[in-house]
Amino acid sequence: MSDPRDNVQQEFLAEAQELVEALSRDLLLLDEAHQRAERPASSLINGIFRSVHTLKGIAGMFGYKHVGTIAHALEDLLDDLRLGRAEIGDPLLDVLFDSVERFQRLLALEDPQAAEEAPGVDAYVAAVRSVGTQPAVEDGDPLHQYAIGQAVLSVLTEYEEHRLRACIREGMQLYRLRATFDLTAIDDSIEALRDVVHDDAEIITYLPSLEGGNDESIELVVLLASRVPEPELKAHFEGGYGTVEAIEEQKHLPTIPPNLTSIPPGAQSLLPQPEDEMGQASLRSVANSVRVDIRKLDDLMNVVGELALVRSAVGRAVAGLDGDPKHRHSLRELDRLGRGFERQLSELRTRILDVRMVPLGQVFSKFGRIVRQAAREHDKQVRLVVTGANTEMDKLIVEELADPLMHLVRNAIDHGIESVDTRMRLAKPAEGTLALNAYHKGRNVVIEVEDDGGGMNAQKLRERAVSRGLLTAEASQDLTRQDMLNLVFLPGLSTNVEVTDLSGRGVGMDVVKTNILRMGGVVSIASEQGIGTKITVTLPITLAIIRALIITVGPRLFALPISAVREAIPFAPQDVRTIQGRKVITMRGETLPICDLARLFGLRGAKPQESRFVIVCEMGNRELGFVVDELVGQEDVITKSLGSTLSSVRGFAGAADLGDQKLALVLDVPALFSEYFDGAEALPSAEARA
Amino acid sequence: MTFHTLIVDDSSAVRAFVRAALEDADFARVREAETGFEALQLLASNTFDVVIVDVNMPDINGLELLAFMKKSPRQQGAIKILISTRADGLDAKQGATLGADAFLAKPFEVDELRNLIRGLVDGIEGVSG
Amino acid sequence: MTAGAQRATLVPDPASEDAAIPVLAVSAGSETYGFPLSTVREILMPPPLTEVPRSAKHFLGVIAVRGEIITLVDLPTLLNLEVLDRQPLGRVILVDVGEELIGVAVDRVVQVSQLQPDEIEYASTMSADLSEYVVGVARVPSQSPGDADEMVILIDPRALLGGLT
Repeated sequence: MSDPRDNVQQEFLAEAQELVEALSRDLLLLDEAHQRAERPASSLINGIFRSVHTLKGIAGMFGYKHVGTIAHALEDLLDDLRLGRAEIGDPLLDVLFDSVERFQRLLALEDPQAAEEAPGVDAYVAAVRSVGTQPAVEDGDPLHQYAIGQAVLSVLTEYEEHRLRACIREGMQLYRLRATFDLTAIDDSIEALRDVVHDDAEIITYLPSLEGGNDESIELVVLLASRVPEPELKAHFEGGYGTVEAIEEQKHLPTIPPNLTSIPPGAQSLLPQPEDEMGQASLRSVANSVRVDIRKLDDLMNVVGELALVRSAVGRAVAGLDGDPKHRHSLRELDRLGRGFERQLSELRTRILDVRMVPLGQVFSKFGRIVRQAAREHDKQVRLVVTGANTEMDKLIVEELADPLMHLVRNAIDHGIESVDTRMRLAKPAEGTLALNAYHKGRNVVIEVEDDGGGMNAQKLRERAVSRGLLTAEASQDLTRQDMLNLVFLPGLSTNVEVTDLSGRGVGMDVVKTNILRMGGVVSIASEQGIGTKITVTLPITLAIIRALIITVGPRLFALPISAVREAIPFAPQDVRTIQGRKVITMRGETLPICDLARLFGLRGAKPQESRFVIVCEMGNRELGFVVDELVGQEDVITKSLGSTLSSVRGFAGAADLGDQKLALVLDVPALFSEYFDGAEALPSAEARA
Repeated sequence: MTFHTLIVDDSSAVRAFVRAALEDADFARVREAETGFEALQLLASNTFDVVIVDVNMPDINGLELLAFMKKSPRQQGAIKILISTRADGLDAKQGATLGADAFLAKPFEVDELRNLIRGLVDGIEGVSG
Repeated sequence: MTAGAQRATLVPDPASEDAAIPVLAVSAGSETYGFPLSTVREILMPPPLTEVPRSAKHFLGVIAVRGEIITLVDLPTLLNLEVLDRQPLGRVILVDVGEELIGVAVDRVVQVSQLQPDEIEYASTMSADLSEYVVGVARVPSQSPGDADEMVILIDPRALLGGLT
């Protein structure tokens, strides 16, 4: 019997990766709160604990020994933290931040067991243990003073018990909220409840009860702690939820038995819809989302392609019935249905593209640690402010963005934000601010990396460009300040001569620009000396990424969007016939017109006729075979415009960079079809010139 | 017989693991719940032979689900297995008082889980028959 | 990138004391052409060229420069000038033509000349029917001593973009 774990290894890696990302994001928030000398929310600390706890559990089951070991050590530490037995401080934050990179490295290993692959695990665990904990001062168990009931206490986890005690110690009043929820909509109702509770109270736990429920609904007893006075809290909940009852301290008079009336199921829907507040939204997405391998989305897209083929086949079959008057009514109906089908199909395509969208927060969350580390190494104080982390983009773009953005962030800390001393001297706040802003602008997403550091010295940039021979002294005379700033994107010119650990990893701003351009975006720069620098990256929301079949005709590479390609068959020149002036071949009993791209484009075919291929393409309900020399393979390409000068040339949708400055022209299949079928007079142009 | 099983755990990897372990060779048919709420939905309208619940889940934890099942007439026949990473016995003890038939510490092996279920089924069938 | 092009003019600024206009002189085919230096963004070794079938003859094709697709133009063909002995592509200069960059194929870069306004003979004052891309011509001293002055055909980059589309 094969080990069932083999099949679910991917599931493990995906979840582990997500947990580490969540950990990284939450640590950033924890650090922020700590830097502001604020007490972090208990839910935040519990969230961090939960990430590590879950990671430990699954690492053990899937044989990632070192991940498990580290997670275990951290779990103990975090458990102490959430139970109030440890304090947040720099040593603790340091080991926590350190863990993120360790986890990532370990998860990337081929052999999760290999000890030699994971040096320093023991030392790290020792460091975690040494962070140590102080026993919390317990002043008698306050729980006994409340009539909570043994049945409730017996189902609380240690953490829930701790929160209960902590809330009591903080002088909060305990309440019992009884409400009946429609089982089919329970997630939404709970979410709505959380939003209502949010500012007023802390939810300790939900207890399912058997009273007042049936197969369609269930009564929950929600244990709440709140500072809001009872009448106010009651007013808040009793309108839409259920009954609220204070849990009295036992030294007071015995309470009157609660009125157990419950609200009918469905009443929750009368509640106002919650604001789409960020924290709540992310909670919801955790509960209501599924994880999908992006390849599965590609598969889905292929199915859409197949459906389009079926649709056109049906169209052809219907066309075969044409002319019979007794079918006229049915034909019209079929035609109408066909168009409806096409609309839905295109809707489906749009929706699938939509699923590929992920929030930019996925990449922003990586920067918290970087900023912290970098600032510390340089003895600078830097506050990272992120806005628009919910802005969504195609997953592939978000992944591709990580490196360029990382570079910009490092640059801002390394070269932009000044040391504390310098800032004090300049009467700037000691703490520098690095802002990452993302927002939508039309069909684009704009991402800004902005610092309030020293800004760039335009004159110096010019001098350096001249001294490095990137620009003649004469040419440099005529530059505007903006031109000078733009020089930073020239290869071989970085803002600072000395290579640093942070940004000197062999890439400069020119590489950043190249990468952004490759994704179809643009970068611009604004900088004022003494005030700061803002780099603005503008990108399309979805990449014009297409799956393409790369082919050759003569010496040239071309890309054919795979969505149009039905199949590729060997070319048999002896089978070519000419019907009504058009060359056709017969495929599976059907006549297929063919178009020799070498002739069409006036290129000399590089291969003997019989070793060439016919790419059968389909558009609407027409088929056309393009004769090509070679099939190179399939590739995901980004189509870029040929620019205003060449965009009027017929038959090309743009060009795709295949790397190494190698370009393939992307064939505009719809245009080639309409040229072939509708406007034959346009065809001989290339041949005439050749 | 093929056991109609419910696994309640907020970790998708754990659910996938349990599913893979039990669905192999038709040992069991597994349904999954990611949250206590999802579990409540399933428990209200289905009868399970085996319910495996994780202790540590947000909102409605595994202990609360056990307490619920103990009272629920529909789930009286179900074998309830509590799982947790906590090996110090505290979860196991708490679970036992709430009607769990067994406690399994994470990480566990495929065979461990299958043998446990087999043993529990035999035991129960032995008693009733 | 467009800031430079807005000033990309060969008309001298009367307010300026030093009215000299820096011009990059390049040779292509049998002629020497001049571009306002302020519009020249970069001089490159020629990257691999991808021909675009069915495009006009003065387009040599497209090149990829740091992820950007740039059209490469052949000046002599564009200006309908005869080429005596065709050289292999020597350099590409990237010219800012206002909204985008255009690559101009040249044999070699000759020099940067400071042209005084009175050295320029503007097309508008000439009777000869010159191409719309040409602002005028200027004589610059030859680099090899003793030779006659060289004629430089001064190109208007903004007209290039307008004319090419």
